[in-house]
Amino acid sequence: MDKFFLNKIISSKKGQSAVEYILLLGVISALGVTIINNKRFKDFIAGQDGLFAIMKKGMAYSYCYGRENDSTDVDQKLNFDYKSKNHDTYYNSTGGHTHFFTNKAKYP
Amino acid sequence: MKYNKGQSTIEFILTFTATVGFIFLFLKTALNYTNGYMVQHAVFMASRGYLVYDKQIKGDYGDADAEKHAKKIFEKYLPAPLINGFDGTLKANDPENMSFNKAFIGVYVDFEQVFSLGFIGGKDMVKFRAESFLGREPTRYEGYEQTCAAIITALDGAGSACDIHVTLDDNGG
Repeated sequence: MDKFFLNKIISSKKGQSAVEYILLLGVISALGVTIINNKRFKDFIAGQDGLFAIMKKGMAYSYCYGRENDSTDVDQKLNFDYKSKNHDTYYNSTGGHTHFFTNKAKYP
Repeated sequence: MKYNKGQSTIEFILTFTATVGFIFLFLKTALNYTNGYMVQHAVFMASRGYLVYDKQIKGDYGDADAEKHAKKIFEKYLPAPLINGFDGTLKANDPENMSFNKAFIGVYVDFEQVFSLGFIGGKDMVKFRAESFLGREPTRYEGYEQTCAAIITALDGAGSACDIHVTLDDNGG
């Protein structure tokens, strides 16, 4: 009797989709929780040098200086005190020359 | 589990939520950029006022009053309720303090805004700085001072002030 009942359950396909759905949901949830709680992932997203920190610095720098951020110290650039010539819109610190230009030869 | 009724509705709700979330995300980012453009425009208009303001009083270059004038223009173009949470104050680099770096004479404002993707990227504010360095035109009093100095120099120091009647000729140089 019990064997017959067991066979009846196993041979029946009822509930297969629901079981698969629940199992898949469980696996995906576990995977998601593992990834979100992973330290490296957290550092990548929200760390001091993470994705969004770099995006924020890039936005702030490009808003002020009108060019892509290639600076290593954005905070210093954003707190520029105008006491030197090193303003990235006007002066190329790497090349050691200004962004202004004029004619090389005297006008006739 | 037996019935399929409501499956489409649930799927619609889930995808609709995700779609609307993305739309709002882009809207928020667009608003942030718009706020930035508005601040830059207000700073530019304020710097134009700072450039030409002339107190027209002998003995006073009027830089401090020019800064106040620029602030009024700034507040006119960017009234307080226009940008939610705007905390910037217009500051000026006046010619007296910028004797080394004349290129930076003008006005600027520092302000902070919430990051568009704050719900993912954290709640730290993002610092922005909007600058407009148009300089400062010489006032009538400065023109008077310089003309007097030119007269005194031309006359080899004869007379210690502009109390001599002379005819000035502009050679266009």
